[in-house]
Amino acid sequence: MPLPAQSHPATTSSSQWSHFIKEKKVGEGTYAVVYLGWAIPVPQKIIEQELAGDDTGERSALDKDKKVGVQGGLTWIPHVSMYYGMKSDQMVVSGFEVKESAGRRRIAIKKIKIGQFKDGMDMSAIREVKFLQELKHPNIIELIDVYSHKTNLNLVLEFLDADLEMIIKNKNVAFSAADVKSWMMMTLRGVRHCHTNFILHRDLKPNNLLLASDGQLKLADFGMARDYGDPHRKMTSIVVTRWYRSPELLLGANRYGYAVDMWAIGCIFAELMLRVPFMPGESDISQLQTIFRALGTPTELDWPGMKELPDYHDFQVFPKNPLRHLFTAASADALSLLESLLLYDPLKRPSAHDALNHYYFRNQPRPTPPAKLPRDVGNAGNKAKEAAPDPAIANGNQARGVKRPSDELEDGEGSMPEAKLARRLF
Amino acid sequence: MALPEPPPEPETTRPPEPYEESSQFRHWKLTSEELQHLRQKVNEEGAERVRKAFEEQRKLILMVEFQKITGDTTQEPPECLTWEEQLTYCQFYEGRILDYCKALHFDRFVQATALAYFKRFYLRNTVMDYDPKFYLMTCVFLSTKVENAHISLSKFLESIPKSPSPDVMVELEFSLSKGIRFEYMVHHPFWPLHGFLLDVQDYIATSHPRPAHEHLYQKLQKCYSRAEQFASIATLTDLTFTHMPSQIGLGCLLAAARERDFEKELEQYLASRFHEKLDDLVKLRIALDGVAKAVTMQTEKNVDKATAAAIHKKLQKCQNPDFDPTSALCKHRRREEERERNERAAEKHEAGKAREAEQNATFIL
Repeated sequence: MPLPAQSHPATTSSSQWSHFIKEKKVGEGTYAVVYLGWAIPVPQKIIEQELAGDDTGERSALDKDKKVGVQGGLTWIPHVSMYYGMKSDQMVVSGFEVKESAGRRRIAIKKIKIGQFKDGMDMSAIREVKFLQELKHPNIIELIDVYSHKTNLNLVLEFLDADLEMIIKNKNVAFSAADVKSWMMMTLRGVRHCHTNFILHRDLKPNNLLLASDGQLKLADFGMARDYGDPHRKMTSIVVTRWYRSPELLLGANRYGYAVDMWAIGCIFAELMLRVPFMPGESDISQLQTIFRALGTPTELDWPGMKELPDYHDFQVFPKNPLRHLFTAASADALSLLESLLLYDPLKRPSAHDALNHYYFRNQPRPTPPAKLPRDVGNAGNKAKEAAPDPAIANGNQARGVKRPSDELEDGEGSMPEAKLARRLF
Repeated sequence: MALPEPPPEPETTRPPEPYEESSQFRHWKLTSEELQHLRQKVNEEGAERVRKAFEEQRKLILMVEFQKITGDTTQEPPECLTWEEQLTYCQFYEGRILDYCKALHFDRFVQATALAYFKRFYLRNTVMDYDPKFYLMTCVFLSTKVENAHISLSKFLESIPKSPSPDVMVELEFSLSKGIRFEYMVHHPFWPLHGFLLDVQDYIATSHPRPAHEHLYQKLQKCYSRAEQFASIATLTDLTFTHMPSQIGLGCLLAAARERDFEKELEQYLASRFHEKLDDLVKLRIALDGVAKAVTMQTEKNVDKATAAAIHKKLQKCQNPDFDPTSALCKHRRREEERERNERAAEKHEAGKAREAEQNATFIL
């Protein structure tokens, strides 16, 4: 049977980077290994030589990529190029052959093992690659390159050394109201960019909000993401880590929209103010109870249409408590935004765009500039945190005596049982 | 050789449109001239590879057969496929993708994405290297994953006659992914078309007297159903590369309007919506006319079996032996690789021993 008998460069998956060095392994999961590494740039000269006299539209493709940014003091370099002449399989240099040079960049490499699952490439790997290839935004983790080596798929990701969960847990770090506002603003900007592109993240939580050394917050882990907007296509309701899962998902909705991400952002906002998870349900079944206890059981008036959801039944009735009783230190504008994000009726929750226009962001105090935001100091900061953070590696789970729910995310739209285990790494 | 031009200055400071940030725009948008150049180039390079591989194989066989001195050891370099033949051959298999999707009841998104993957893959690869027979089902399988219609591999293969083994499929899937640069997101004309439907409805409501609405809506609806068919046809053409999904969507609506006696209304709509910049309207008209022409000319299967069979016959003689595990060349390569691996392993072993000896020596000292 005529099949590719050898690893042939079927693709021209190369870039401004001549090669990537894997320096050390920092995590391993069922279907991926994460390495810390360096990206070594291709000298500008070579790119120009390769492209001189090109008539296949290559150059214009590179020009289109250019806008995505110049790295590390080099002159113009394309972002994700596809110029010929470099075999992707030759791009990897393991070890330390390459000396320190100008313009090299810290990276994390996520090596995804292919060929050991009976269904081929893992769904969450495909999702992550699919969406990160499209999303370029200061508040979304950058996929620098994708290359294949032997039978492995390697994602070259921006290196990020902390996440919001680490900072929330670190009791040595004090937050001001301005800090919280800054993190919220960056989160919403990243999410707005996703939603503008009709992409739902579906796994927003502090652990997936990574922090760059310059203080920028970046959304990561797009393994659960999917495109949305077509009312004729059903979606699974078993998404989002439990404590951040919206009530419509808990009631089994299979048609939903950006509001599920907005609920999760509400939970994150509350957690930033409280410094503990706001609604930590102990199981999927009790999560709704936990929510109702905190916010009061919704009535038909709060949420018309609630009773039509697949898993609806009669619930124990809890009274509504004003949020200001719980969030005693929060300002009125912050409470107003929080309240709107945690509205039961998904149609009433604001979009990311609306939320950014909320007067909370225009009122004093001004959000802290990213560079001046508190950093993770002391205990938790020693462990380097990769693009794909693993809480087990990065930080103890015991810090608060609460066990975080593991991602029991299982996507009925077509994932495999392996994905369940594998998810832990990301 | 032309000097590399400096990167152009950004003309305006307007933020990029979301579509301009997509991989489809950045890497898979080409003019028809560029498309042809690229196809020729890929074909020439592929043919060159085939000739080299045959030459190498010939030498190999000569070496082995040296003592036998049989009469016929010289294999003439084969006649390779031209780029036009490759294109025709691929179009035949694109028709097969439609058959598969129909038989397996996949929706139009799965079908359109599978077609896009197939087109993208063979834009930069040749059928002499990679057999489309297998890649077409891989395209469909990968598309089901990307378009949220995933079925398990075993179930998928069950429903396909003469399917390859699951292991092979997994390998093919990876190879295909490489060929499409791991850019899985494909934008289709279906959504933009629906958007224009809504917008034209809106236009009718605001610009025509109320009594005329019902009649116009009915005409529009008929026109839209036809346009949807055109949009599906568009995914079979090169429009995928040359035009934006929104242009294709609107172009399909225009083509349908011409057939369904709605052209006058649609012209009015275009003029009222895009009248602000006359230049842009002219450019848009050209683009839309191009789309309308392409979709009305394209038929579902424009390559008959006989033509495909003739190319297939030619192809069998110029299949790259480098990609055929049963070929003499491939077997030779594997042996060489094996030998190199063994040598390296032996070297490593030796080096290890030497180091050990050294360490022992230091220890003794």
